[in-house]
Amino acid sequence: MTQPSHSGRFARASRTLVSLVAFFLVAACTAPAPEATPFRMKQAIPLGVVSLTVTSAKVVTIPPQPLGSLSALPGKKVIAVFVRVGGLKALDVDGLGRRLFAEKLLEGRTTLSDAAGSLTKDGHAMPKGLYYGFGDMGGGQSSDFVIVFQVPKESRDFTLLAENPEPQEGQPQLAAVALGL
Amino acid sequence: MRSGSWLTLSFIMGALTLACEEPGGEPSACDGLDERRMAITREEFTPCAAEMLAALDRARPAIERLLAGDDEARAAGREALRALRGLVQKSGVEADARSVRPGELIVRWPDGRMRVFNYSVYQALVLYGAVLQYPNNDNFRDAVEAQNDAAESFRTFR
Repeated sequence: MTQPSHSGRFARASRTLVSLVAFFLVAACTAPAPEATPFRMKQAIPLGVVSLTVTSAKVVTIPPQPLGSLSALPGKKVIAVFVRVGGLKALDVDGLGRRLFAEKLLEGRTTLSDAAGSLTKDGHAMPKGLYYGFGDMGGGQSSDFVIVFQVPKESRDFTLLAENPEPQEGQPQLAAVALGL
Repeated sequence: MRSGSWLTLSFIMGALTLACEEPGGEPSACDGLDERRMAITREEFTPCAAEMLAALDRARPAIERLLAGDDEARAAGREALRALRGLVQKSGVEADARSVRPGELIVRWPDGRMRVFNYSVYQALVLYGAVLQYPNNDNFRDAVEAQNDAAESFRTFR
């Protein structure tokens, strides 16, 4: 039987070392996911300096005109989640600034999960007036927004997960609202 | 090498030089802002922004003297930029500048005037750094313009 060469042993030892370092790095850098605190529909969820209330949700069968872009993609269906973002006026920015803040907060921090545990990120948020094709009624003054998700057609039992970017004392890190769909 | 390529190279060298320097460690009004994830207010940011502008005000004359041939002014310019970079790091503005998630930036800084200020300060920092590395008037002119933009934005939100 041939003895492994010195360079072969060295290469194997290096691979093992690299794998071990990678394993420990991944283990050290992966924080456990926070447990979601359940909230009901129409119950305000405190998210840092603002609050989020899910007012209703529906499967969009006929997208409101003229937003044809809300039509379902092949193999998907569209879920619209209607929310109210409270406390925006305390931000001390103009109407458009408040709208932009709310849209980016909703798009970056909300996720839709289904019965199988699959997660759909990348929701698209907009003022409720814009969703119904009336434009941004009130020049960014409105607190009502819609988050639109494209989800697999066969998925069901949706829950909206809202991550709190800056939890204050007593606030949840992650909130979950069953949508009843 | 063409002048445009040379300027680009000096800009990159300036950015790299800044990236390799240690941030200033003195306590400041910018401390802890890098940990904020949501809705930094004018009241919270104004003292920090004022410190950044003061550091820029210290850097500019030193770098101007360097451009005029006074090599001893380099140390003062470098010191002022090191202090500024410390503030830019402590406020999280440097991380914002490198971020590929513009949505999070807006959630952190809902006031657009503060975002313009941060962008302008960071531009001035990098451009003055480029001048320190390779003294040249083009980068200096752009740095002064960025500094003026920062001062103008500051006046609108403080």
